[in-house]
Amino acid sequence: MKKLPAPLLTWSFIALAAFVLFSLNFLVVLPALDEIKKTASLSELQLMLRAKEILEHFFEQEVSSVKQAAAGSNFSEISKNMEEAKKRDRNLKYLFVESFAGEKIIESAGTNVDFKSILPRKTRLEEFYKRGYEISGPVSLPDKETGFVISVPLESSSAILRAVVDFENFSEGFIKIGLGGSEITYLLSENGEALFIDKAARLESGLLLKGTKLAGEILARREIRGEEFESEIFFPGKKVLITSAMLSGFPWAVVIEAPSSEILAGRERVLIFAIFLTLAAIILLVLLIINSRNLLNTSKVLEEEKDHVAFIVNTLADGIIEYDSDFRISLMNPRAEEITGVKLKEAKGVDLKSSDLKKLNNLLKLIMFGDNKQRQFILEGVHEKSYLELATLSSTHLGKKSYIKVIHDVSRDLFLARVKSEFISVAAHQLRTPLAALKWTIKVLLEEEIGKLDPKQKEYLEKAYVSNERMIGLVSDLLDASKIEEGRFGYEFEEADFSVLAEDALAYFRDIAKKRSINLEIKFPQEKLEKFVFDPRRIKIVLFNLLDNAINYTLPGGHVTLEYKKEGLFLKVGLTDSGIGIPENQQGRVFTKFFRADNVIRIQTEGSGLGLFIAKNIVRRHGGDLVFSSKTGFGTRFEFRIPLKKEFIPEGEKPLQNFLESM
Amino acid sequence: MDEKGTGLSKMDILIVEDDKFLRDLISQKLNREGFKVRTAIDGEIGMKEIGERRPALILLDLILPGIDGFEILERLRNDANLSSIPVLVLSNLGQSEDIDRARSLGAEDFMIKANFTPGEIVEKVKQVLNKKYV
Repeated sequence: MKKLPAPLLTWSFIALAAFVLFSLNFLVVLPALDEIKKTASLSELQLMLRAKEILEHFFEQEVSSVKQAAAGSNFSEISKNMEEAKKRDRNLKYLFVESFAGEKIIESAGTNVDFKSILPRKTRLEEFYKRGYEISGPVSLPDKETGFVISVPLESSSAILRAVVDFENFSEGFIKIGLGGSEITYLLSENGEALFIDKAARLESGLLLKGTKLAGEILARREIRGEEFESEIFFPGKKVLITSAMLSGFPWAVVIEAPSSEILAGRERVLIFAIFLTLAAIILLVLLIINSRNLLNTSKVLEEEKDHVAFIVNTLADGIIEYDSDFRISLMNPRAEEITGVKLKEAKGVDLKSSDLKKLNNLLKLIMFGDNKQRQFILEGVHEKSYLELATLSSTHLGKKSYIKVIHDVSRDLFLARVKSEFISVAAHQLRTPLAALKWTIKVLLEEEIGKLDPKQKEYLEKAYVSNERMIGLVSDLLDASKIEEGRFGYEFEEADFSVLAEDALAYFRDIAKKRSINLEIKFPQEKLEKFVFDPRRIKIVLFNLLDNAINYTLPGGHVTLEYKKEGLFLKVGLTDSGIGIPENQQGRVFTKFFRADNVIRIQTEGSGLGLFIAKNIVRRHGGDLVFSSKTGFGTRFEFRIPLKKEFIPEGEKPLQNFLESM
Repeated sequence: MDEKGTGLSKMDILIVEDDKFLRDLISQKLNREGFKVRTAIDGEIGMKEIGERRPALILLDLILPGIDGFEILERLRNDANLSSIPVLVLSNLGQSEDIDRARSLGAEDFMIKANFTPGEIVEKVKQVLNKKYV
């Protein structure tokens, strides 16, 4: 095959496309995914740093506010400071001074709460004094708010000033500062408790991280100041990106939680795209694999089909030769080799025209012979002549014009036809000898040459004579039908007078009709019929067969009329009877050999069924036709036309391939 | 019968026919008609009879053992002395090719045995003799 077939080309493209898709995934899409994640993390980080800054500032402010309050020389001064600080800073909910033993010494006004339950007890003094403050919490306030506690040591006495800071106001302000979106910002205490800045989020999420591995990890890093931490984690139902950092100077960490789906929406889109690309590539590959399997299957099927066709061609009873317009042979089946005596390998591709071999020359003659029609060709073989029927077909094979010769060896058919013909001739000859002997004997007896006969004897002998005559007629008809089939009936066309035949017919049938009480009439034409060319002996057979039928199959009292006249370029002969007619369902078979209608067999046992077959063929041989119309119980009309000009008589007599077909 | 008195009677007629019954029937008929009849049962004897004495007319069957009727016709035609003897073919054959062949070999007429009665054959014999000799 020179050209790549279209499907193969398509599939090559698909393979290429799959390859490109995979490459795109690896070279562009996957790095892009990383890039997107980095960018997203970076913006989260910035957000977190800003929150950190704000929170640190807030804590610093609150601590300094509490420190200010603690800067009194005695308890009354401190108490006054506490009230002032509360007024100044709305975030300071409750302030009080307690001893290291945990006993409350003074407290700000309006504090009606049992603080022991909400305050952390532990205070590591060394650290506490060194740093100058401590922050603990979160704590739940009696009004359900959340807060934390700032503790500072008093300068004047060994006691601690504690301030409960309400986170509420800050939270509200913090949201306004502009961290928004879907992020949740909160503080994570040293024991892993969250202090939400966003109130709404607090209500919704509760202590999100508590007890999780992530909280532990964040806490583990609290010692490393300012270390940023980022990670992704699954919570039931959603995936979040966590960004956190320790607040500097304060023991808490700031945490920003953002749903991955939002932050990494771009990334997901790219990821979906990447997945889509990968899937597409996989689908293409799968299709490619299926298709290549199909191709393999198809080629296998084609191969099998080819073998099958080759098998049929090789076992054909007819010879097949394929050749091109230069008469170069490309194929011969075994039968063709057998008929021509040439092997395919001897002849394949050989220029037959320049070959000296006699058998190759014979082969060339054979393939050069004939046209598209079937014709007979005689092949002079080594041992015997073969009679071949050749048919030439043209076809196109792989873009080149080629011809196929179908060789049908008819030698055997012709042999059989000859044997049949010889058999019939011999059989007829053998039958005719005793029939002639009977005829002659009966005739000699009837003519009373041997001796006188009484009337009864004479009557019987006459009946025997008639029967014998029928037998002779049958043998004669059989021979005629056989010769017609072979195309060797033998016609002798000559200029003759049809009227003489009509008169002969009248003379012959007049007495027969009279005996059967049938009115036989012949209508001679008013205009005299000129002589014309036809076979008078054969046309007489037609006329006599038709008349014989008409008279035999018409009941006594009926009539038979023969008329003839010139009609255009033809002689038209019509024979009408008032006979029993031909049953409608059998009219199609009237002209076939040995046809006898049912109603006729019942009334007339004699008759060969060959008369009309012979008559029809004789008329057709003259270039005319014999037709009929009939109605049971009313009668039948046969009509034939033969041309008056000899130019209309077909040339040559042909064997009947199939008589029905030729009708 | 009315021609008995004419020159046709006593004329020498040779019948070449292998079937004994047919041969007897036709020879008796011709005898009754007053002809002098010789018979031959095959082609060889027929040729011998012709060689011995020239007949006025030959009634010839075509299918015969040994030398057949066609060959006799051919031999007669090729013999200048014998080619003028009228030959009536009386045969079981009757196809146009047989008739044509016999005619082309010089047969005077061709009769299919089964289509003619002895009387008609005698008539034909007389007709030919009249044409040839009278």
